[in-house]
Parts: sequence; C-alpha cells; structure tokens
Amino acid sequence: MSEIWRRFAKHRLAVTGLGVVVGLAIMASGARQIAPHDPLRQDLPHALAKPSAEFPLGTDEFGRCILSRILFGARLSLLVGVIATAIGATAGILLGLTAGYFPRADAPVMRCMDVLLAFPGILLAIAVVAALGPSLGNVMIAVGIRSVPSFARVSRSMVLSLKELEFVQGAAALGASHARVLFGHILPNSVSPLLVFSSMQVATAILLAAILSFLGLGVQPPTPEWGKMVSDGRAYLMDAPHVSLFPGLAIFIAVMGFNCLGDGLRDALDPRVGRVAVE
Amino acid sequence: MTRYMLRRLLQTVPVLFGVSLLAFAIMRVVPGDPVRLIAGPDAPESVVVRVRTELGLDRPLHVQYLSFLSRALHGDLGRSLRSRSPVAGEILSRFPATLELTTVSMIMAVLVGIPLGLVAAVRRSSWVDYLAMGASLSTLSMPIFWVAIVAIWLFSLQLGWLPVSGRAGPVWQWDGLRHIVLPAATLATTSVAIISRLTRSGMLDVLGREYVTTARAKGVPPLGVVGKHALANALIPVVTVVGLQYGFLLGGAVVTETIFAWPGVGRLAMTAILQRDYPVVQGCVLLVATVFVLINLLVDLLYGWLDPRIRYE
Repeated sequence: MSEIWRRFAKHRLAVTGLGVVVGLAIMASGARQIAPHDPLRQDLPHALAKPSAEFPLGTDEFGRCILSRILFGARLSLLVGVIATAIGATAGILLGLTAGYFPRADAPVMRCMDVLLAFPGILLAIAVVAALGPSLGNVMIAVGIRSVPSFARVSRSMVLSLKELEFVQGAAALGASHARVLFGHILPNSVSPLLVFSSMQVATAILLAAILSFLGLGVQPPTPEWGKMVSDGRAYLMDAPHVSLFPGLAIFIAVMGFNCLGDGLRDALDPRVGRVAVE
Repeated sequence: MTRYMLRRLLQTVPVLFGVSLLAFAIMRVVPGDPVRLIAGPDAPESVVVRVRTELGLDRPLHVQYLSFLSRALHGDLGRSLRSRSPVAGEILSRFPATLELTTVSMIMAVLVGIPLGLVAAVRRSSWVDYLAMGASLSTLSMPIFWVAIVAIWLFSLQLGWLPVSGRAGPVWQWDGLRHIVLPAATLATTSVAIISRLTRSGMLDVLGREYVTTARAKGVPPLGVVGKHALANALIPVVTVVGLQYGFLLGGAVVTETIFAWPGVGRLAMTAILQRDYPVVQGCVLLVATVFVLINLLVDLLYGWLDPRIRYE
C-alpha cells in the first residue's frame, strides 16, 4: 500500500488530479455553506454583471450568481459522472466476465458489444435520452450505456489472462463454483485495471453529460448544471462572455482532474505499464 | 490475405444486422406517439387512425422491422414524417457538407498533430515537449462545445476575422473557406491531441530501437534517421487512429454541426431525434454506423498492408 502511495505521490500530475477531485467533492458537499448566494435567486437589476466583489464570477441573464451556480452544479456533475460510470461498470463487468469465462457466451456477447460500439457515443446517448425523456436519471442511463462495451472489453481481457493461471485453475479443481471462481478469485485480481479505467470513464461521463445538457437534453431549468449554463450563456457571448466561459472552465477542470487521477493510478497500481515508455 | 478479408467481411454482417435492429428499436419501444405529433394534439380520433395507417405504424413491430430492413437494403429508407421527402435523399443532400467538414478537419489534425508529436519526441523533456503534451492532455479534457464557444468568442466576436456560423459554398471558394475554418478547427482539436500523443510515443519507442542506432552509427544525418527510419515505423499506429477518428467524425460531429449551424448529417440527426422523426433517425443512425463499421474494416486491412509482420491466421 505504501509502495503504491509512493509511486502515486511521485507523479505530480496525478497528485494534482487527486487534489482537484477531492476539492470538487468538498465543493459539492459543502455547496450550501460555501456559496455566497442562493443559486436560484434572481436579481434582475444585476443581470449579466461582470465579476465583482459581490459576484466573484459575475451573474447570468437572470442576475443569478454564477459562482454559486457552479458550486451547486458540481454536485450534479459528480453525481452523474460517478453513478453513470457505476451503471456502465456493473453491466459491462458482468457481461465481460461472462464472455471471458464461458467460451459459448463469448461470441454472442462481444458481437452485441460491437454493435453498441458501432454507434458514435454522442448519437447513442442523445437517442436514448430523447427516447426516454430528459431527466437526471435518464442522462445517467444514457451515459452509462455508452461505457458498457468498453468495460466489457477490459474485464473480458482480464478474465482471459487470469483464468489460465494456477491459482484460478486450482480453485476450480477444488470444486469451487463458477460464481465463486469469478467473484472470489478473478474479479478481486482485476480490481486495479478496472479502477484506473473507471476513473477515466468518470471523466468521459462528466463530459458526455455536459454535452447532453448543452443540447437541452439534460436536467431541466432552473437547476444549475454546467453544460446548460454554457449553452444559456451563448446568447450573451458578445457582451457578457463570462456567463458561458466560467462554467465551461469548471467542466474542463473537473474532467482534467479525473483524467490525471486515472493516469496516476495507472502508474501507481500497474508497474508493468511503467513510465519508461511514456516519459 | 483473401481469406482474412472474407472472414473480416463476414464478421461485419451480424454487426450491421444488430445495428439495424437497434436503430429500429430505439425510437419505437419508448413512450411518445409520433402520430399525435403529426396530427396535432387535438386531432379527432378518425384522423389519428388514418395517419397511423398511412405511416404503417398500426402493423405489428416485427412486420414493421422486416419491411424497414428489406426496403433499406434496396436503398429506400422511407419518408421523413415532417418534410415528407425521401430520407435517403435528405441524407445524401447533407452528406457532402459533413464529408467536407470532416475531411478538412482531419487534414488540419494530421498537419498539426504529427509534427507536434515528432518535435516533442525528438526534443524530449524540453519545454516544447512539456508544452505540446500539456496542451494535448488539456484538449482531451475540454468539452468540444466550450472549445467552439471560446473560438467563436475570440475569432468572430472579438477579432472579427471569421464568420460565426453557417456554410457558404464549397471549401475552394474564399467565402466557403472562411466559414469552414472555425468548425473544422474545433472538430480537429481532439484529433490533434490523440495524434500528437501517439506520434510521440511511437517515435520514442522507435528511436530506442537498434536499427535506429545502427543508422546513426552508419552516419545517416539526423534528419534522415528521424524522417526515413523512425517516422515510417512510428506512424503505423497513427494511421489506424486517423482512420478510426475519420470514420467516427463522419457521423459524430453532432455537437460541432449544431453549434456552427453546419448543414450536415449530424445536425439532421439531432433535429430528427428531437422531433421524433423515426425514419430520418433510423436512416442517419444506419448510415453513420455502417460507415463506421466499414472504415474499421478498411483500417484493419490497411494496417496489415503497412505492417507485413501482422499475419492473418
């Protein structure tokens, strides 16, 4: 464990990533305490105000404090990112384990995954949300579905490499059930690549969810959501560019944080993929 | 090689079949009645029934799917519920715009990405390397719509160099060129990041190999080593990614096309999805996924041609 931490801490970018993610989590959970204003309170005389002491990041077209809205938006983005990834991971890992472990299931399952992969991610997610209706839950489902095939591929390849190893063969020979071999021996040994992959997937999920809200398919107003805020600010780009630019910056920082964290985790957990090749 | 090609071709058949099934299913099994949308919420029941029969939406789902599939195989994708014109025609009329946007943006991405990765690899651990890799890592984390908006704000609104949106004729005309620069550059950002990272890691891998050392020892000038011996080998994975990215963008430029009001397939698909125009959605999804699957196939074959060590057994 300390060895892992040492390798992780050496990776400056990864530590920054961890810092960003922890910071986001604090912002999200403490939004009510930190935010200088009520994110929903309209203040029309102060509409489209430039950043000032009272409104550090300015106000939007309804005079709402952009900083407060970004802080509350962090809750939504983190929630969607994590839950969507959890949905995709659960389904993808189950499918991948099945495909890798049972040779007869391999072709049918993986061909279905190929079909899902043949759809451009954004189009698939848009279609799912448009079909199910725009809501927070449906965005999570749509974004989660998109990551199912990738999770299936990663976990399948883990099974394929692990199931020939002696300790797995031994467990099977001792009469362990399929479920026990899969969940007791194979899955625990696949945790680190899956963890790395999940961290990167959270980044992608936040990005994709932001795109959906940007297109008007996400959470409905007046809930503060980063992608929607960027979209709403487009109309005022000429006179008040901060309305669009700051929420976009928030998305960028959050996504970057998870990406760096994933990079660092990979180097720390998986010494085989050393930094020699990438440095 | 021929056997591999045949097998690879046969593999795509079930995938395309699945794609058609999913394209058909996704807009049907869900709540929301397109007939109501067309006839209007207050239309009398008799009109609703007539519209439903006209559109064939009263038949069982499997009958609808089979007729959809057999007509699609004959190039007939049905008619748009909105404009009443053939879907295949609508898509074909938008496709040149998408093709143009994607091609220009891929050319930009290759022209910027490969030299950037090359310089970063050759001047490894220098400020150029850190700058290039920092920039590409950041680019990969930026939402594309935000990149587009920042670009519009800077180059159109502040500097007034380029138009905000729209398409004004083909790219070889001055006005057409001016209109394509921003959307193509926006679309290219992700590809530049991916291409430069891959070029860099490919070059670093190759530059450490013995044959490069041998070439150096023989007295081949540095430019010759990089250009002839290293680059050719480092670019093999780049070719794959350029191909995949191209196929992906041919159908996936939904966001960029929407923001820049670019009259392409992505925007057509987006509008159709929001309007529940089933036949158009199906047509777009079918086309996009088919193009993607076929380009995948092409890339696989090209890969084998570039790297003869890959054996198809």
